[in-house]
Order: sequence, then C-alpha cells, then structure tokens
Amino acid sequence: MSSAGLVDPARNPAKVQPADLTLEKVRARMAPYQAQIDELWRRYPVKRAVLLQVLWLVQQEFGWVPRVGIEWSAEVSAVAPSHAFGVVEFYTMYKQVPPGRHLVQVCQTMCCLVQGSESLIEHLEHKLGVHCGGTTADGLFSLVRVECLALCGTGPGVMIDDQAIGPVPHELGGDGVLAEQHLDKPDFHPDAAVMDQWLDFLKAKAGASTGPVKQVHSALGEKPFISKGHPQGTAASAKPLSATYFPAAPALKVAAVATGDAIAISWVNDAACAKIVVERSDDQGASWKVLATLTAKDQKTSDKLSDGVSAQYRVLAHEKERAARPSAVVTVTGKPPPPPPAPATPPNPPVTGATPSPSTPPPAGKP
Amino acid sequence: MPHPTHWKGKELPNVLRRLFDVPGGHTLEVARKHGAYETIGAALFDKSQFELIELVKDSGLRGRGGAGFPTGMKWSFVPRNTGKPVYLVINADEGEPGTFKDRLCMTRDPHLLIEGMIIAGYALGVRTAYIYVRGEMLPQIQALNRALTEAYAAGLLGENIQGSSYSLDIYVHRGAGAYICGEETGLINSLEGFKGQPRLKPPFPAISGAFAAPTVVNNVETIMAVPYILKNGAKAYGQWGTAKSPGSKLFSVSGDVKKPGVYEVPLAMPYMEFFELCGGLDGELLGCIPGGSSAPVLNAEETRKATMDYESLASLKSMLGSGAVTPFNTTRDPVLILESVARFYAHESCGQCTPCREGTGYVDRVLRNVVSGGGRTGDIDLIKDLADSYEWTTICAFAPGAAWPVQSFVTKFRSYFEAYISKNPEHSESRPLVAMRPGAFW
Repeated sequence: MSSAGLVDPARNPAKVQPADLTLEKVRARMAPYQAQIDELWRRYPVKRAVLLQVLWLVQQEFGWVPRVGIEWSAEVSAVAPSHAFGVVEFYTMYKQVPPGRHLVQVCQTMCCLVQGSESLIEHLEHKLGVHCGGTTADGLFSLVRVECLALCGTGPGVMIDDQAIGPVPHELGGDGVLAEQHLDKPDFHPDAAVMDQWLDFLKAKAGASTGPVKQVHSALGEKPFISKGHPQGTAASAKPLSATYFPAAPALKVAAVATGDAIAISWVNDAACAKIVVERSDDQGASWKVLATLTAKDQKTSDKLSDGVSAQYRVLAHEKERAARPSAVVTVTGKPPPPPPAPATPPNPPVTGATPSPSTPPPAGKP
Repeated sequence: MPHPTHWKGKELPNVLRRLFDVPGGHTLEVARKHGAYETIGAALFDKSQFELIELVKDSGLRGRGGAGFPTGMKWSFVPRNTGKPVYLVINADEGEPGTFKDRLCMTRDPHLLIEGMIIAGYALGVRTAYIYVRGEMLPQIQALNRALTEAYAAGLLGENIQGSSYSLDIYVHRGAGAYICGEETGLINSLEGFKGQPRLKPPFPAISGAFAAPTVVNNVETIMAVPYILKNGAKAYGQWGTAKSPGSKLFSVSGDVKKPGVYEVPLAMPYMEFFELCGGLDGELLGCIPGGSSAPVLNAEETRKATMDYESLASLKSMLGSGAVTPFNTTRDPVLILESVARFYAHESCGQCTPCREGTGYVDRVLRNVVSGGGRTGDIDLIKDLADSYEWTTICAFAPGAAWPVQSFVTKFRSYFEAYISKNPEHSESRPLVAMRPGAFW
C-alpha cells in the first residue's frame, strides 16, 4: 500500500471502520450464511482452509471487509485474527475500505498497454473526475488500475464488479448469473464510447443509491450444492476410498526378442507388485508353464528356443492379495545362431545378449 | 468468430476446442451428445492406476501451465496406497500476462475438465479434488459449479461413480487476487488458508503438498487433454507435434495480429505460419513474446526461425510457457513494454524472498525513471545486473520469470533503451542510487 493512500482518510482502513460494528453484530448478520459455512467446513480436512472463502462471504454481505469481519472470519476458520488479517492484506481483492457501488478495474499490463489502456484510463479519470484508486463523490464508482485480468485478446481488459464487460451494457448479475459477452465478440475492445455507455447505464440504474452494496450473486458461485464433503472434514459424511477400487495392475509392454536361440523377455510392471510370474506356452496358449517367478524390480528375464521353434510368453503380475489379468501374449521364434564374427574384430565386441545391429557395418580403416 | 477447422488442407486438432463453438456446449446434455464422459465407464474402471499413468507417460503430454513438465512423470511420483489422502488440485489461477485460454475452457467446456479430473483422480487415488480458480473469474466459478451440479446429479461424481467402487468429490476454491498463487506451492498454501507464498522445495508437492499429503497440481488445459488420450490412445495424441513435444495446445494470441483469440494448433507449428492462421500480422514484426510475459522476448529474426514447441524455444533460450503469443510491430516501443512488465512483477512479487521483493521494485523504479527522462548511461547494465542477481536466488520460479524479460529486452532492444537515456541531457552523470534503492521506500 502506498503512503499516499494512508494520508487520505477515505482510503485508510484504520479510519473507516464503523464504530458501532461489533463482533456480535457481524455474527448476527452472517447467520444466514451458516448453511454455506457448514458446507465449507465439510469440504476441507482443516477449518483453516475455509478462510479465503468466508472472507468472500463477508465481502458479499458488506461490500467490503471490515476489521470486525476479519475477526469473525478468523473465528469461523479457527485461526488467530492476526493470521486472517495477514491474509486479507496479502490478497488484492479483499476491499479493506468501502468501495463505490461499482468497481471499475482496468488492466494496465503489457498486452492491454499496447491496446491503449493508458488512454482509456485517462478518459475514465476525466469522465469520473477521480484518479485511479479513488471513488467518485457520489459513491457510485471506484476506479482502479489492475494487473493482467486474462483478457489480453480483447484488451484493454475492463472488469466492472465481478465480470469482464462486453459491448452492450446490462444489469450486472441481475438474475444471479454473470455472463461474459466479450467471449462471443473477439472483435470487441472496450473503448471510450463503450465505457461511457456502461457508466451511464449503471448510473441510471443506481438512481439515488450509492456506496457498497450486498451482492445479488453468491461470491462463491451460483447455487452452492450440499455435498458429503471431505472424509476428514468437520461433520462430513464422505467415506475414504477403499484401497482396491481399481483392478490389480497388469504387466505392460511385454516384448520378446530372439538373438539366435537366446530369448530376451522384457516388460514393465507396477513397482507396487509383490510377485511377477512369467509363463511360457508351447501350444498356442492352450496350456501355460511357469518360466520364472520374479520381483517387481526385475522387469526382464530370458529363455532359450532352438532355431525355428516358436513359443508364447505372458507375464502375470500379483499384488499381495490380488492377481492382475494376464499381460498381452507375445509370440517369438528362435533364430539360427548368429554368424561367426567378422574377420576384422570390431573395437567394441557386442555385449552378450545384446541385439546385434546388422545395418551398422563395423567401422573400417579407422584407428 | 468460429475456430478454423482446417489449415493448409489439413484438419486442425480438435482435442480441447471441441465444444468451444457449440451453442450450449457447457451443459451436460449438449456435451454428452458430443461425447463427453464416454470414458467414464469400462474404459476407465477396467484399468489399473499403473496402466493409466503409463498411458499418460506414453502420450508425452506435458504440463500446459508454463513449465512443460511431463504430466505422466509428475503423476508417477505420487506414492500410492500409503493410507494418506492424495489430492488433485487444478490450477485455474490463470494470470500470466498474455494468457486467456483457461477462461474460455472453463466457460465453454467445464465438463471436459471434470471428465479429465475423474480420470486423473482415479489414476492417482484421489478422493477429494479442488479447482483453484482465480478470484477475478466469478463467471467461470459459476460455470464450474453449474457443471459440477449436473455431473453430481448424473452420478458422474460423488460416491461410487457410475456404479464403480471409485468415489470422487470436486470442489471449487476461489482465490482472491495474487499472481503468485499460480505457482503450485503458492497455490497449495492459498488453498490451505495461508498467504499464497510459495514453499521451499523439497519436499515436492507429490510427496507432501496440500494438507501435508501427496498432491498433484495440474493446469486446466493439461487435464482437459487426458480424456482424448484415454479414448484414442497415446499414439493418436502423438499424431501432432514432435517426439518430445507431442499433441496439440491452446495458444492465446494477443498483440499485433489481425484476429487475436484462442487457437488450438499442433505443437511445432512455425510462428510465422501461426500468425497467418491468426489473420496475419499487423504491421512489420519487431519482436514476439512467445510464452507469456516471463518468456524471454524473441526478435523478429528469431521469431521467423522458431516453432511452437518446447525444444525450439529452449534452443532460442526462451520458453513456450503457457502458450501466450504476443507479437508486436515496429510501431511499438519495447522500452514501454518492458516498463509495464517490470511493474507487473514488482507488484506481484509475494515479498517472501529479499532478492525478488527488493530487486523487482528496484528495476521497476529505475525503468520508470528512464522512461520519464531521467535515464543515466549505466542504467541498462544496472537493471541487467539486478535481474541477474535475483534470477536464481529465490525459492520459486517467479524471480527467474521476472528476470528473463529484463535480460532479454535490454539485450535484444538495447538501442531503444539507449535512445531514451541519451535524451536526458544529464545522462552521463552517475545515478543518485540512494533514491532508487529499496531502503529509500520504507
């Protein structure tokens, strides 16, 4: 917060707290939200996690967050008031002084800058007769500069209250549903003329009423539903997951490669497997014999097949108590033994069992 | 403006934008007609966690929020069946300057996000998942809540989804305005009711994240690609892009193109071709910010060489980031652009680590002074030095992200900064640093 804000009493949170607002009064005013708070408590394993959400409810009710509202939020979230106060200070959207009836936010970052945000801000300051950060004398509009609003394609980004504006002014959240017309109008860019229409419309709509208002739409989205919550949430009825809601993990990517009569079998399996059984079939999968029983770490084994003899292999993965469905079956045929090594000994004799690469001739004539 | 379906005779990918142009596509009824939730049945419940994680690994899907970390690998780090809950938290705190894709996704196709979350939740053993939505996006929170209500009513969420033994609850959590909450550990802190200041890593969230339990934080767009992969296989997803950057991605285009907007294109498309798809460039290209404001800027020559994938941009010492593409033409002033970016980072620094808190403000003040005509000869080196000194000296990736634009702009557009400085008649005098230093402001 800049020091200039503190000099102006209207922008100094310490100077704007209503003297008659007590914790008792806030509790009474927030009482209708109890069902929503119960729902929030259910949703998280600790009460502290509802803090940001209940601060939103306070802002919905009061139009801003008075200090006593922070105290109440701390009570609801089971945190120290100082913790809640620190959170309010950290996030820019909690208003610590009462804003005007409508909050006009104009993005000034990079993409909006090149789309003319500065001249739009200048126009608005002129039209409203306030500098950014201020509220008009009639209490109708607060104008602020903000950083990126994620409206870069239809910049300069402007939000009024809770929604990005489109070309046609309309009552904001009148029926509780916010609509973003700008999404359907990629050619739309808020300019001075559009903003004038919006401001005139909202001014006419407000009539004589000024100052922050209770929002007609929920600060946490439309129609909060009643859920069973988080298994560890306060008064929640959700049950934790069973450890076996999914089938046991089969082995995947089974491959068998013949190098002469040596067969290398490989696969991947879940690290959590208790036992891996590799099976071989010599009759097209009619019957299976265990070839090897291994651990989860192995993920490979070997066998021997004479030239022209085929066999099938599959891998069975077991958890402690469950067996997974068998892996895919691979068929492999033994090959004739590899030709005797070329007369010129390659510099690096192939490691036993490695697949030879006939396409790469041994380097000749090189030292 | 409907999204183009073909480009140069080839069909453009339709993984994420499937319902963007369909009227009523955000409702369950219409979404189901277009195939939503088809995977939530035997296709999912007959699979083990391991198979799903392997599938996502094989697809090569990478995080679309900015860092580009392989999603399957992130999922595989989560210890399973430890008895502790596992959390899936969707990062919908979209706020990287230039990025506006997630806003569209949540408005137009919330059911695809929910479907992806059911698959991811099933693969990771998640009982409770949260969608952390940026505070400014109340219409999107409404859209998500409406979609969640529909999904609950249809038995797609809650206990024993579609008669299986899997149960998942999804809740929306509204943020309150802080760019840093897009950093995954900052987001977790904010979810838990703290200030959104990032945590020191390790422990990584996969081991100890939200509520001290294993947590996966994924971007909206990342999760929205998962249903396609489960339905069509890893290979189908790899039909686009390169081996290391497979698939399609949403790009948010702003700046000097004729038709800004959100486009889904295959990864590895050349930037210049992409600009044609966006109606062509406006004016003569001067440079391009290829991945949101943190990504080092490319000059015109580099932009002509670059393709839209992780490796091409890494080779140009920039990054794909969140897929925000902002080309600017020769009528733009790079000094003013950097001033705006520097102010953004100074404003959004969470204040936790000294080098970032003080350094970003210092750079901002010097740049503002340069722009207002008080530039001094050593200023370019001064701000570059400052950026160098906070680049890697903090606990999260915010400071590097704040340093890269400074370093790249002053290097690649140095003459523009020099022009500002030389306009000051007293530019050769040394800067009265005391007035610019952090201490002078407290």
